[in-house]
Amino acid sequence: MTGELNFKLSGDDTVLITGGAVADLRAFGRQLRDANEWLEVVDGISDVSIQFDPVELSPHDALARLQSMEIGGSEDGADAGEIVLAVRFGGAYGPDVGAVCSQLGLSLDELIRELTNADLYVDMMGFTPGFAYISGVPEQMNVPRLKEPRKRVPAGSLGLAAGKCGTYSLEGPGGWPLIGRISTPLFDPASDMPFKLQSGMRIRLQPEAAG
Amino acid sequence: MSLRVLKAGLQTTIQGGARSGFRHFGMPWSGPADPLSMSLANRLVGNEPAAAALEITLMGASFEFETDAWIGLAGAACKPHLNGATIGQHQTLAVKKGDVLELPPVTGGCRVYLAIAGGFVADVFMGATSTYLPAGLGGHEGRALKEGDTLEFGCLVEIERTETPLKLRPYFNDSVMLQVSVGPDFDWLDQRSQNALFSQSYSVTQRASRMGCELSGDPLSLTKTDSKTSSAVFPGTIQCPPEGKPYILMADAQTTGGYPHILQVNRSDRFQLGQIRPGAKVRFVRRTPEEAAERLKARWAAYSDWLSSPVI
Repeated sequence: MTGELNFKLSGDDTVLITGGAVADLRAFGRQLRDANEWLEVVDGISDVSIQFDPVELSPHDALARLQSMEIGGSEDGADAGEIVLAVRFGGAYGPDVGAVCSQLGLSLDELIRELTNADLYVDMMGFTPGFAYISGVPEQMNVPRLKEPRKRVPAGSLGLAAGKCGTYSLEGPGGWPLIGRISTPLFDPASDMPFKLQSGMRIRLQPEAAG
Repeated sequence: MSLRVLKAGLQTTIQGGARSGFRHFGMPWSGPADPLSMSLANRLVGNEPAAAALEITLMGASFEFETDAWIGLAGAACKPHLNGATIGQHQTLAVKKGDVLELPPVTGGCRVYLAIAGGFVADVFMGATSTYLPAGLGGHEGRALKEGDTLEFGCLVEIERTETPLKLRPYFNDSVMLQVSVGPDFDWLDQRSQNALFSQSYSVTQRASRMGCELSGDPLSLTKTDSKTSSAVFPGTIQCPPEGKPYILMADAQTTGGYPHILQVNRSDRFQLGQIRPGAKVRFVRRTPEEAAERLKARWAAYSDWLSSPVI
């Protein structure tokens, strides 16, 4: 399987794997995380990075070991699962939805229909803790980021920019136009897995009446 | 068992362990900017390397002890005072109720670590007590300390007075040499820039925090202008934004980034990042990953009799 993938060292203690189908990279990433033998396994948009401890494993051996592995050792690794997220679109929850709709030439109902019918999936976590970059947004729904980022975006906010959706699991600064707020909790500090979303997860948005 | 913050200084936070293993959720490691110095401070008072300690940035913090305690100081060069008298770093110190500890501006490096026997009581989030300021998590209410804060710490136990062996004390000044390996996007730089990275010294700008620090020098030029798809970044990653000023990521840095990843500070040298302050000069020395691993092993072997678990 390693034929189509490209393995190389990135710095002194990380292997970067590029090439191949993104679904394969995701499955490999999950498999490596489940194995619990690596310091970090982090998905990029179209790659995966694996950090090792050079005291335990030389860079050469880390590279060789990953290259010799087979993808799909575990059944659980095959799929990150699906989650339904309840969203209140517009109003105070999505202060930019009017501007977004007019840029796209859609009514609010049309925008909601487009997004709730779309097969969305998380292609990467990053930017801030628990922030999910979500792909699968209809191609024509491409709006730019805000010119002036907000200093404070409430937790659960759903943004739309650059052909993707973005979710803010935590409150923080952010430059994505906000179209709604997810009422399904995305963050539970008391849990072992405090962030609900992870890369590869399929997402279904379900509209809730805006309050 | 408590102390009171008389002056909080520029930025003083509680730091403990790194939040490792969660970067795929977008959670930065956080934790001490210079884990080696924090571990050395903790060792002086019999704590585990990642016990919650105070990370004091550049200047001006002072504390009053409300109970007797054992403390240890390590990190940036500084002449601390206890009740007005100069005291040393890298040694176990007994303090009494009512004593006042003052930390004047550091004279080399950036961050001083104050450890206390028993460790500070702090909020645990994702398995660590470290303060992660951008999201207000961990530490003391998720924030930098303020004047008037009272911090609790663990029980006073009888401990063995000790000193960090001289050969294990890192000395920090403002001329920093960092060993690096090339990053995956090193060849995005033109030939002149590739050479310049290892022949010139860079100045750290005012844009320096626990997230990272910006370097200025002869600007680097990229041969590609296309944007790269976002990929994992780590503490020690050096990015080249379009204006050509290298940016070194640190403990609180985000987990993914879209700027070309040109260099990576080798793990053997990463603890030094926490001691780089604005105005400092930075030079890069290129090593192969295998050379970097040997240096890390040698460094770790030197500390392994003194510290109980790897912290570099």
